[in-house]
Amino acid sequence: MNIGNFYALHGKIETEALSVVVSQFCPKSAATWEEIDDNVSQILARMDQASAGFPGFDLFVSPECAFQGYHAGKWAGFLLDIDGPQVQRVKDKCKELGVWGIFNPWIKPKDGRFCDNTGIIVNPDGEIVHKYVKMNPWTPGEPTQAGGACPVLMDGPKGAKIGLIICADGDYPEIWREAAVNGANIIVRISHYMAPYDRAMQITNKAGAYCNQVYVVSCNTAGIDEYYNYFGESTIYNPDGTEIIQAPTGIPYVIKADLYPGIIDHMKRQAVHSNPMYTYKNRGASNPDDNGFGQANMPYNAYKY
Amino acid sequence: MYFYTIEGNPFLADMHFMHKAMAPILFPTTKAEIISAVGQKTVRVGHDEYKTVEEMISPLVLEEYSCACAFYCALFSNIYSE
Repeated sequence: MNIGNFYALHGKIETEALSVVVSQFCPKSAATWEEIDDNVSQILARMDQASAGFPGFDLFVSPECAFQGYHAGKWAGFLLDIDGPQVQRVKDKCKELGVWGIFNPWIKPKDGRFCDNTGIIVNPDGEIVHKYVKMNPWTPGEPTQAGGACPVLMDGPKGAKIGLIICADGDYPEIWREAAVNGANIIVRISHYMAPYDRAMQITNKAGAYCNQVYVVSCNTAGIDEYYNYFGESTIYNPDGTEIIQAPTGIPYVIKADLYPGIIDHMKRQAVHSNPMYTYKNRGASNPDDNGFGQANMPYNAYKY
Repeated sequence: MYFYTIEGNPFLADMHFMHKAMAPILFPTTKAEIISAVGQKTVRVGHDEYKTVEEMISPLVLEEYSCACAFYCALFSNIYSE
């Protein structure tokens, strides 16, 4: 399932299989509340489709902007309440199907701030168990407020520890590392990416997987709206950056893979080479002058601003 | 170990045999636990040269290993300090 590294991976691995469904489609660029409702109905229809095509799946992943699209002139007038009826509908569907779900409502914060681009994870009881505000909005085109932390859902399904990042987040290597350091064995990147960023999305996803030794699940919008061509190409990656499966370009599609989160946890403990979670904090650890511990200071000016 | 390969007629399988000897070890662990578990296993480190795991890792300065990478870094560090 992955290339591994020089050394054999010792030890018995016990892990459950996590059945992940990634659904790529295109929402309307909503300019009315009715169109918002249409978009929510599309999400629910895709979840029903997943239940037919992949019986027993554990986790449903939908793209960024699937509730609202991104209407260039009117999007700011259609922000959602995290406790409102639109979000409630996807919570109810998760409960009905007994699955976990990842969704992206753009939220009007209750404290009066402008907008949070918010990723949520809903459990099979229909509860929001994880909330993440995009740390790197796609500026200048996305004037949402930058989130301040990238926590990880540590008790996800089947041993999954899920780091959730959103679209342009993935252009910044530090957020992948932050999610991995916080314990993620799977990083889910939902996006509303359009041409000409086709290759950039794949490159950054692969790098995020390999450089942090995690599964990466990428779910991107697929289709055309009034403004852009959303290329889709949602992909699930092994921790060595190789592709497990990729959806086609530009059309609605559903992909599915069984992932084994326990393997990632095992690799972090047992892998000799390609173990960046140790070596980035213990640089040069095999140097005889450093007695196996290496340099543990933080020398990067890039992170001292 | 890689140390021996430096001096001509290299023996290539030293780390292979060491890693075989370490197969039962699960990390995190300590030097003491490794010696207790596999310390008496013999590792072929040259064409006609053998050491026990205990002999090889006793000199390591680092005593605790959060992961396999930490252990092998400590091992290599010691090899090149000999």
